[in-house]
Amino acid sequence: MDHRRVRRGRALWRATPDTVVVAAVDGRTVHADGSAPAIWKLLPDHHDEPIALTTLVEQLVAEHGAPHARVYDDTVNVLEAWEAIGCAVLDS
Amino acid sequence: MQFSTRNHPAVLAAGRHLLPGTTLRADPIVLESDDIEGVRAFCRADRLSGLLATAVGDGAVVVEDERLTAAIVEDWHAALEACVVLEALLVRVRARLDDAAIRWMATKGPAIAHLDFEDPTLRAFGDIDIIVHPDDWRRAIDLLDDDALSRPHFHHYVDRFGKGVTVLVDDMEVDVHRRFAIGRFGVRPDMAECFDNTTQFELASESIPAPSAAIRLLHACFHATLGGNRELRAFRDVAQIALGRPDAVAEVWEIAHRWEVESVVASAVLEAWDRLQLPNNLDIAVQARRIDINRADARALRVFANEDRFRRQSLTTLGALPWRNRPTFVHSTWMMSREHRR
Repeated sequence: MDHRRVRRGRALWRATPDTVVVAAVDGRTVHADGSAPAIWKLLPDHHDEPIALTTLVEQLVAEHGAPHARVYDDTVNVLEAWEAIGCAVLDS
Repeated sequence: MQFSTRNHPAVLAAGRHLLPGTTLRADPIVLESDDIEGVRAFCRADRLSGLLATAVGDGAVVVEDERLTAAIVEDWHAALEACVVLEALLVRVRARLDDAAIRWMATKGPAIAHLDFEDPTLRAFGDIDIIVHPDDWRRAIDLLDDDALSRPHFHHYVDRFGKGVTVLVDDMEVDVHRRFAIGRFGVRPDMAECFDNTTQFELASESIPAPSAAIRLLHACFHATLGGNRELRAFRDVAQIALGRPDAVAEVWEIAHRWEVESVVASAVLEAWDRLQLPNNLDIAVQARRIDINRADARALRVFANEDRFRRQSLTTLGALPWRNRPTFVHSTWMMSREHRR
C-alpha cells in the first residue's frame, strides 16, 4: 500500500485534453501526454491539502476505467517527473 | 508572409473562433493539404496555433489528413511550452521588481491569456511585456538593463517620449513599457493613472499585477493600430476584450476621450471588425464609426499604418507636444541618434 500524499508544487502550466506542460519557476519543463492532463487536473493546488495517492489513483480508475496497476504506474511515473522539477510534492 | 496565406479563410476562421458574446455562424472551411504548411507557418508566427487547432477540433476548419491534423496540434503544444517558460520568467522578473519596490504590471500576452480568455491555452505569446510606473522608470531600467549606462541618451529619450526598451533577462526578451507607443498618441496617455485601478492574476502561487480591463483594451488598440506586425492576432485581442468585457468598453471611450486617443481606439475597432468580419451593428463598432478623426490624427495614423521608419513615427510626437517641450524633444532625439551612430 502506497501511503504517500500528493499535491501540486509551485508551477506554471497549460493543459489541453491531450497534453499538459508544466514548468517550474526556474524554467524547467515536463511535457506529458496520455493520462497526464487528467492527473494534473485532480491534483490539489499548491496552497491546498494534499490527497492520498491511493485516492487519486482510485478516482482515475473510476473516471477512465483502465486497469488499476497501469493507472498506478502511469500516475507515479508522471508525479515523479513533476516532483523532479519541483512542480509536484509527494509526502510520505 | 504571403498575402494569400494571411487572408486564407482558415486563418480567418481561427482568428474568429470562440470569440465571446457572438454567434458567428459559418460553413466549415476545408483546409486543403497544399495550403496547410503556409497556414501553419502563419498561425505559428501570429500565435494563432491554439485557435487553429481548436477550430479543427470543433469542425470549424476541416483537415482530411489525420497526420496534418496532428501537426497542427503539435504546433499548439509547442506554443504552450513556450508560454509556461515565459511565465516562469515573468515570476522571476516579479521577484526582482518587487524586491526593489518598483511598481509594475504585466500586460499583453500573459495578462490577456489569463484575464480575457476563458481558456488561456488559446492565447499564446512569444515574449513578456510589462509596464513600469513612470516614477519608478529609472530604477527599473537600472535594475533590468545591463546596458543602461552605455546609452544614457537613449534612455533619456525613452523616459521623456519613448515607448520602452527590450531587455534580456536570463537570455530571454522582456519588453519594458514606458508608454503604449511612440509618437503623437504615445505621449498623450497619463501612464501613472493606469496604476490607479489594477487587477491581478495568479502564476505559480504568486499574484501578478495587471491593468484593468479598460486599460488592457486600450493597450490592445494601441498595439493593433500603432504596433509592428499588425496581424490578425492583434485584432483578435481587441475583439476578444471588447466583446468579453462590455463593462470596459464605456470606460475605454471615456479614457480615450480624456487622453485624446479616441482615433486610435476607433481605428483599431474598425480594422478589427473589418479583418474579423464581425457584425457592424455591435455597440462598439457603431461608436467607433461615430468618432470624427481630425486631419492631424489621420496623418499620424497613416504613418503607423504604413509601418514607416522609426524616425517618421517618432516625429509625429512634435504636433502633440506643447511648444515649450518641442526643443527638448528635438534635442533628445538628436542626442539619441548621435549616441546610436557611435
